[in-house]
Amino acid sequence: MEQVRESGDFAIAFDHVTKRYDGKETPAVEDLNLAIRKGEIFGFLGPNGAGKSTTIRMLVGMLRQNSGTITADGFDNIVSSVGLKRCLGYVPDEPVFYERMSGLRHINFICDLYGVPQRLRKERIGKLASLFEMTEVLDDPISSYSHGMKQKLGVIAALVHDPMILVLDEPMVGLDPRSSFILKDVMREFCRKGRTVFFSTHVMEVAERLCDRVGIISKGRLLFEGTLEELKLRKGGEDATLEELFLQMTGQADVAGLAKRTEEVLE
Amino acid sequence: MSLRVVLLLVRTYYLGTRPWEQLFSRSASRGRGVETKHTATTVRRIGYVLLSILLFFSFVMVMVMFGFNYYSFQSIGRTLGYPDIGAMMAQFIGAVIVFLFSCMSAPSVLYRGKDLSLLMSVPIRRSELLASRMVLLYLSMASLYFFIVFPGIVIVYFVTGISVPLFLGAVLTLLLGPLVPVLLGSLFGMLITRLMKGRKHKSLIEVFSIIVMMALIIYSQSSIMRFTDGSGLFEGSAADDLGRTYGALFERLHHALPLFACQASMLFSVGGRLNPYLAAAACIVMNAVLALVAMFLLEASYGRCVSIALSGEGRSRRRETAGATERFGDRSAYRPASLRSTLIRKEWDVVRGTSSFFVEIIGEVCVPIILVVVYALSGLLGELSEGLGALTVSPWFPAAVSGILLLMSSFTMISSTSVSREGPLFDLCRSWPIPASVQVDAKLVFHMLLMYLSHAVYLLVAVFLLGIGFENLPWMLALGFFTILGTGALSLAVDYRRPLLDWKIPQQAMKRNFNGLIGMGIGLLYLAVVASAVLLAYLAGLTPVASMYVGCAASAVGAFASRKIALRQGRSAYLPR
Ligand SMILES: Nc1ncnc2c1ncn2[C@@H]1O[C@H](COP(=O)(O)OP(=O)(O)O)[C@@H](O)[C@H]1O
Ligand SMILES: [Mg+2]
Repeated sequence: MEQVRESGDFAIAFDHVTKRYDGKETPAVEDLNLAIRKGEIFGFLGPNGAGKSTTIRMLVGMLRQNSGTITADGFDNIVSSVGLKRCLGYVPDEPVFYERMSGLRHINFICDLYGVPQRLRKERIGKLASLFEMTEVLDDPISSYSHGMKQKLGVIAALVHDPMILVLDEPMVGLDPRSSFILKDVMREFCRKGRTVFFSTHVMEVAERLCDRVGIISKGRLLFEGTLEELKLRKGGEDATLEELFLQMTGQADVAGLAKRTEEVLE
Repeated sequence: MSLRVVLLLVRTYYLGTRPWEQLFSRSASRGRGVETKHTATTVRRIGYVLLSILLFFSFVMVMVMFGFNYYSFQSIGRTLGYPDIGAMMAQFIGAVIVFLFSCMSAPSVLYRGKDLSLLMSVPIRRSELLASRMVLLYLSMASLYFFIVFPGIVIVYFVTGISVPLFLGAVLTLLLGPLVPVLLGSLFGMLITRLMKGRKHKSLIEVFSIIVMMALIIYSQSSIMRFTDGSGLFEGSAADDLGRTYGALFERLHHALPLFACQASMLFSVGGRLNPYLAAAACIVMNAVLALVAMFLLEASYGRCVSIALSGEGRSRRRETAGATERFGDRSAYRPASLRSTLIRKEWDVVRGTSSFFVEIIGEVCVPIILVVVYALSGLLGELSEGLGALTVSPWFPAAVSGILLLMSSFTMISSTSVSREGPLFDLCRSWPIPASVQVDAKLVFHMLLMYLSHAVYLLVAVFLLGIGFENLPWMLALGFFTILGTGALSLAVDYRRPLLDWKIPQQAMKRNFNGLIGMGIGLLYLAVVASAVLLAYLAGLTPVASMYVGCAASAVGAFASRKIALRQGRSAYLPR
């Protein structure tokens, strides 16, 4: 972490970030220190309610942290939130749209907002739509889309303005295996040009296949940051799967106990 | 059909949507503030209480107005030989209004509810589902009916005193009165749904019925004003004429619609035209027969209508969108638009996307037209213009016209619910790299496009029709511009400060949004301030026209400051928080 920070070669940096929601005792995110290098895919792992979405919503300039600083591509998330948003592509966990617009009009609308020149639009939209197999439905109103189609539209809209950093909150939820495969491919390809992906997930398989490095968060605290190899080394189990490590780290390791409880409940 | 299931469905609906809590949910949800904001919360609570009292009194006031209206008809009717005209009028107006409202909401309550896809998948009978929806529709309409008709029953009490028929008749009227219009409205809604095959003509029908309804209300109000502003109450020939006109109308209704005749008669222990008990019995029988027939028809087509509503929506919208906007592969589809026009178009999309927003806003823009049409119909306009001769020579006449038009344009919720309307989409707006000032200005421009453009048109028409000198046009246009901009900006600031974003049904975001009321209050205050600036200038010795320019200047300063306030509130709303 310190090396990354000193080399100055990071895309995103969280520095002692704490976020406490109004009227809640415990902070949703507590003293988070994290740096993401340029050109890497960083997976942000944690169980439900760990604080992943909170972290991401602070990163994209929608929530304000109570203390600490967040920078992305050199922009502070509070002081220069407009500049920061300009270089980010953000796919929220529950994408919302103006439902009466057609998918195409939504993307054009995003292009207008981000100032994408006309000559680039058709090519980019065409490519992205055919990549995500959305060409057929792009003229239909968004209200007729399924959840997965909306998710894909959200990804297209996030990529169409050619951001430096792609931020995705649980992007695989609701995608069919084929789309999820395509998305993983896109994320890899995105990083090849020196750009950065930061995404949250609780699906271990995805993290294992995709990430250069991972961070594990639970109850608002960062428990681990590093490569998967480092994680395995640290926990001693060379051949442990990420899922096992994850359950171990987040204090849910009593797998046998869990299974027994399930059995009892469903009896 | 099991009554237990029907009641369960009805109860579940109320538990699941909690329509009453929605009104006050904001004060409740704000309750869990931090200690330091305790006084602020208290102040807010008091504000809510005051507002609620205000609302209650305005309801009572309107009911009293209705009562006066019915009473005057009742009095005229007696002398002219139509002994139950007041009660009949009340029941007739109530029925027409409930019918129009039922036409509007029947398709959405019966066929389009968000919970229907859940309810269609559980093992209950069609008839039970339909009955529960009808009960919901009836309950929501019964309160409206009560509001309109109850004053009419009170009037009968003043005429005949308390009696068994009055008591029985009142209970029967309030229980059965809404039934027939609700059933007819539902049948109409069913026909529309089937004929239109789910096409989106809903907003058109809504606009139409709202206009008809406002016309009806204002018509009855203005007709009563016409003979109360004479020398004495209910004297002179105008009153008699009106009484005869309405008397003849109701005489015809009496014969054509025996249900209304019975309904009116059953209230009168003495002086009615039919025996009250006989009338009540006939009324019950007629209602029962109609209800059976209507329910049979509704049930026969219920499944079909629901599936039209569920499947038709997507298809028809698709066609609509494809026709209205760019298509994939079409070159022009990628034409870039400026940031501001894109954002303004987005505002329009939000309004267009929800028919209740659309209807509300069209209504607000068209208030002067509706009023003029109604007054023209009632003949009041003619009388007014006769008396106008003396007024038009007054140097303050242009100011009065301008003021009245501005008053009408201040009854708008366009800006004061602009942020609330976005609902969950406001988060989307916050994630864009657009400076807050651009987004705030887009909302202001949208407000001006709707309210100021229409105001300017009304001004021009008024200047032409009323023979106001053209030299007044510059200050009229300027005064309108700054005043509408100022009130719009202040209302917007209010909504930016505390937007209501977590609404479930669109009515919460506009009609039931307290910010809307606050916005209207601000509009009135703003006008009062400008008016006092004009008055001060006049008292200081300026001519009326010069005073109006002072008013313009005051309004301009106000608009400038208001926009600053809106920008400040907007900025903090778009910043991370
Ligand atoms: N708007 C909110 N208000 C109050 N508490 C919240 C809000 N959003 C999230 N939380 C709380 O913050 C914690 C972290 O939530 P979140 O970041 O959404 O978790 P994750 O995305 O990892 O599942 C949870 O305990 C949740 O209850
Ligand atoms: Mg989450």
